[in-house]
Amino acid sequence: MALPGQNTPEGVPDFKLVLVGDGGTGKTTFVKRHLTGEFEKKYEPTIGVEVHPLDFTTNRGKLRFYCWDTAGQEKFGGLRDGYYIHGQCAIIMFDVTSRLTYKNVPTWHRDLCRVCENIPIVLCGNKVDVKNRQVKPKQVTFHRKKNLQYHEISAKSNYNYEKPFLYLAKKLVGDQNLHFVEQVALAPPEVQIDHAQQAAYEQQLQTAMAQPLPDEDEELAE
Amino acid sequence: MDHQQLEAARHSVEKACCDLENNATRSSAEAVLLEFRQAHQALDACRHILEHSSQPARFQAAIALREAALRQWVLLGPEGQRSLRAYLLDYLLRHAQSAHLVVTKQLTRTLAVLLKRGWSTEDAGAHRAFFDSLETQVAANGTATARRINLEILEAIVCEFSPATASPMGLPWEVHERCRATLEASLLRDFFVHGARIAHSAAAPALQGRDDGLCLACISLLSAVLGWEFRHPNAPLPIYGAGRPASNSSQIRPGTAWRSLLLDAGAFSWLLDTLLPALSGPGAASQPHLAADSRQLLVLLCSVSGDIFPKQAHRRNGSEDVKAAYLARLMTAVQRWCVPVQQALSRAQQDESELVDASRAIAAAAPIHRSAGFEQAGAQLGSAQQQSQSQQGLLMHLAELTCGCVACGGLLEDSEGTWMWEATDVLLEAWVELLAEDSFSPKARPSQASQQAAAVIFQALVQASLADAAAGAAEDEAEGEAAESGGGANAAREAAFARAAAIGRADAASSCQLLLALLREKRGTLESCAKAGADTSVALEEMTWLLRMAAHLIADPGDGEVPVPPLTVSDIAARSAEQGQADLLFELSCTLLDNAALCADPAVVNVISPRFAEAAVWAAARWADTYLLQESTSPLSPAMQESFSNQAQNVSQTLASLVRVATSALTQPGWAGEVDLHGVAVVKLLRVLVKRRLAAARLVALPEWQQLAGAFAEQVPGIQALAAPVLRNLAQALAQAAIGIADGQHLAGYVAFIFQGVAAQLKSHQSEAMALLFKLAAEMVEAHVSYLQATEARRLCDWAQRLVVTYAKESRGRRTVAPSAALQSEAAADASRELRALLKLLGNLTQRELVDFSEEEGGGRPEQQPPDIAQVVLEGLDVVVPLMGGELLQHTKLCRQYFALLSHMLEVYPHRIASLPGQQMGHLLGSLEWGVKSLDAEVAQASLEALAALAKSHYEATMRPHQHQGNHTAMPAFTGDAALRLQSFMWTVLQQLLANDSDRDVVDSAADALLPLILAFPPAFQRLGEDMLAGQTDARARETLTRWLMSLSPSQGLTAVDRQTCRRFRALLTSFLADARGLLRMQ
Repeated sequence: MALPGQNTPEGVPDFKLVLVGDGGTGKTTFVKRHLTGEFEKKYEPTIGVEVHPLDFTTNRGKLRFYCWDTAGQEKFGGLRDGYYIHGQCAIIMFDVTSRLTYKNVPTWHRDLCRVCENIPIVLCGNKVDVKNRQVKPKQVTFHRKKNLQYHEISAKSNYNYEKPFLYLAKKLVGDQNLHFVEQVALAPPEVQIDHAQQAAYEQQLQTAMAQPLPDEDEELAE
Repeated sequence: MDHQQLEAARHSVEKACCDLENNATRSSAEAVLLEFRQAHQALDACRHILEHSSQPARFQAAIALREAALRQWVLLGPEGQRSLRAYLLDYLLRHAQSAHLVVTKQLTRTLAVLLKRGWSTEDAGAHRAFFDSLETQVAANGTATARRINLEILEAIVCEFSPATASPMGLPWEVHERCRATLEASLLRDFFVHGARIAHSAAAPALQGRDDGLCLACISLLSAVLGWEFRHPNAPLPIYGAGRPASNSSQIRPGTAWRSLLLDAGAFSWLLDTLLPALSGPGAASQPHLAADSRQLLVLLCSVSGDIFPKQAHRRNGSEDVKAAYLARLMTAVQRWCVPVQQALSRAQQDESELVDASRAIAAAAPIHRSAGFEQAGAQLGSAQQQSQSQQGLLMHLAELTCGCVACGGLLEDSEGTWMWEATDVLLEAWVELLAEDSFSPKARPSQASQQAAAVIFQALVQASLADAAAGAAEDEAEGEAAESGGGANAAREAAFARAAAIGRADAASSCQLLLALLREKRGTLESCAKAGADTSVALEEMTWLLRMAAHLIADPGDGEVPVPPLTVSDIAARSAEQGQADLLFELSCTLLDNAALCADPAVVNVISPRFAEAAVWAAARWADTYLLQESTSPLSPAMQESFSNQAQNVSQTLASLVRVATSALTQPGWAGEVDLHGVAVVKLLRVLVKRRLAAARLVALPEWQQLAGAFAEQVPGIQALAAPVLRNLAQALAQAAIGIADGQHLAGYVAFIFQGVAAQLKSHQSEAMALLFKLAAEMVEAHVSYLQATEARRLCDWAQRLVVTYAKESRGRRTVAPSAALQSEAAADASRELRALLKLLGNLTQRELVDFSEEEGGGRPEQQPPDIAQVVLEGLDVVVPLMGGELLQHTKLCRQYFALLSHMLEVYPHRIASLPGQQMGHLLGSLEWGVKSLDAEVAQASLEALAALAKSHYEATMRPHQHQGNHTAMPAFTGDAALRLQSFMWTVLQQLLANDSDRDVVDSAADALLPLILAFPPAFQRLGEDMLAGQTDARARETLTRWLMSLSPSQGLTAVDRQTCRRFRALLTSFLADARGLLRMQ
């Protein structure tokens, strides 16, 4: 359903996607990653809702999600479930480094299902790049009870970034064999270049080489 | 509201509903709807819209009605509350046929929410009366639709009373818990009986679509009841601190009272014998929702566990095993979706839902019944149905299904998200659970049937994975997902190996034999390819997979514990020794070591890919962690003892070979820049080797080790080029080996030698050096501060203070130049890291006050006085605070760390704050105010705790100004501007509480802060109350608020800040908030 005021190119099917989950789980960062390719390190809570068109190209042509990125924080919730009306698909996001955000998944799901019956929903565990996860994959069982698709993702490292969209696209188009044909426009993952080392290499007249370093000041994975 | 106003409200909401869908007008529409929700007369307007508008406006009105009713709950009074509930019920029944589902669902939820809001103030009789009147009205209506609405209301009530899906309503979680407990004790079972009874008669008509959705509503209700978190009456209460109570199990544990309802043979005949047979296969297409929900209910029934099943001892007395019979009934239904396997798989190509639900049902039952339960159930299946699979057993049949999904490509990375991936994933997980008891319990061992099934699956896993690995050889690694996505993909890969290993260990002998044979075969292929100059990549990729798999199979991950050989693996070693056969464990161990040694063999090192090297090194490390020089006494087979124990003659040679492997992995010119390989060589292999004293003692004596240490100390080019984190870990491993050196002089020489390399490193990585140095300083302070004598402690404090001041001076200069946004953000991230390290350093200084082991020094000279830690840290904070602007405080970790330290300081040294110089105190109180208002609950909580300590201390000082004289902790009270500032926190805190639905912990800490503030500044509290009331026009609201404010004021017996009063005040504040939030949020 094309939104007035937002022009969907002719013949391109579009779908209202509702993105929900607790505050700080990375919903906006996830959307921004698609829009600008950048990874936002800072946290600014979303107020009410922000709607963004997200375009994908599949083997059956283009399609567009109008992604309703809703506020996770109660305080800035705006209309909350009032936004869900006419939603055609949804993503529920939680943060694998925060148990509380997983505990609240059933409520988000309940609110969604009250408004949008029988729509495809993907549950996403974000921030799997962080080492001290609080919610281990085995503890994620909610999707089994409610027939949801589950994906572990990382907006920071791009891990499984397009999987939720692909699942929703398959369900909405009704084609199990649908796939994305162009690489989803994503920026390369965060790679820090070690400049000092690079200089040392140059001095030795060796090929300069990018060194992916672990996140922040953490040590190598044990 | 008169009719005209109601109409105006209706028009504006209807318009806003249209505008909401338009991008250009959305924000104004949001504003209109929000204002409508908060309006004072919202209830009347909502009812008007519900009666007269179209669907979108009714939907928004239904939501608004719920919010308004909760907000005005107190004002409605008992009569108003009851009549609103009656209106909703009447509306639902009146519009049962015509109302849109979206509206009905919101209204049933609203009804449930309102019932719960009044639950604790009504008695059991009133609760019953509500349900009786519901039943009377439904019966009077007499239609199936009314009956359906009844079921939907019950379902909404179950959802609302279940803490996992409860609406918060601004109430403490204890209230939710009481509602949960009373519903479970009094009504939940009745709901279930009611739903099941109706389902029984509605099932057959439902198949023809003649039940008005009754059957579907029954299934939803029963599913909601089964989703209930049953709690044993004696179970401890859940922890409320961190918000919503945790739902800690995926299993459903109804008590013994539910036995006949769930376990009786005919209890679910309507589902198992009527609905599911008709709705499986082609039948599902006619009623897809009913089919899907019926299957989902079956999955839930598979999750039933706990006391409901008679205990083992009781079972033997009975003629029939109830638990096995129950599982057999469920599995009969499940098998309908997956027998015969090939047909089920080809059906899944069109519609996967039955196969996926079958897998989920099996996985749900697996941890409850385990392989033994499935075998028993299989026997009952066989006798009851004489099906063909009874010959091969249920387990073997499930194995066939699993292998079928694997063969369809369910393991492939590309298939993630498809049905075969989902089914394979769930089934393999089920197998791990089925076999788990056998592998963990020292007494039980897998039965023959589970061994056979596991062997079949393991073989299928190996075959499919090898084919995948071979296919992956052609892909460009850089394009592979794993290369890009780091942690997530690696963790998923490790989890897949761990799962395969758990299955493989059920029949460890056959699994070892299979891997051994394949490793030998592929090694032969590799060698002949290399000799012939042919492409080796396929063989290398296959071996890479096999090496990882083998190490996963025979060795233990440890995970922080001492790794122990897996039971079934040690079994085969012991058995082969008894029977005089070749020791499979020993042979596989030698093969792993032999393949790792290839990495250090100059003749072949050019042939090997870095991926192979990484796997080989990793496998050797994991193996060594479990078996090499084990200090524990777990018995190994003779062959293993002879080669790898401390008594073994050639164990040093094995160690030397592994050191050569690690050195080669780090320094091969062809592997320069392979950070993953370097990381594994250091973090996995070297760390494992230096972990045990026995091994370290042998290591340091080896020429190979000395060579590696020398290369690091002198920073030879190959070592110097390694990435900084690799080098840090290498330094750590080399230093850790010092535990193997007994001689003091030798030890000192060795450590000094290693530090040459560390010093060189610091010089060449200055950008990171700052944070690292602070980290080092923090660790040094942590290790020593509690043990130093006064003189040295002063020196340590001075040194720490100098570090802080120097950093502040330098970083102020650095921060001003930031040419671009990206660089600015990088610089901010650097600064945040450095400041965190610095705060850690300051925080560690305070440990001396907690634990002080230093001995008293006699001297009275100033430098011999113990250092004033509080002053050092407070001054340090004063230097650091100006460096942390709003930008930096958006870095969550830094922000939390700062407030944790601030809170610690204010709680431990509240008496020091009032006497701080004006500007310094201003900084601290400013921070505190920022923290109290923070959106981050952790920061807000820390700040409130700090404020509570300050306020309490101030109040006590004003009460007893002269009592503490002479005591060095005597608290001077806040005076002048500072006192005013402290007083103003009263309003700040209350505003935060009223505006946010905070967690209980936050409210409790806020109460602890508010009580002493109210006691210390009674006139200010009175003014605050007057301000609050001044804005209220509604007489009832004023009355309610006045009553509450009176109860919180000092005159009401709240006269001290002792524990008991604090507790009372916390309870008062919580109840006040529940009522006042709604009133004050009205417009």
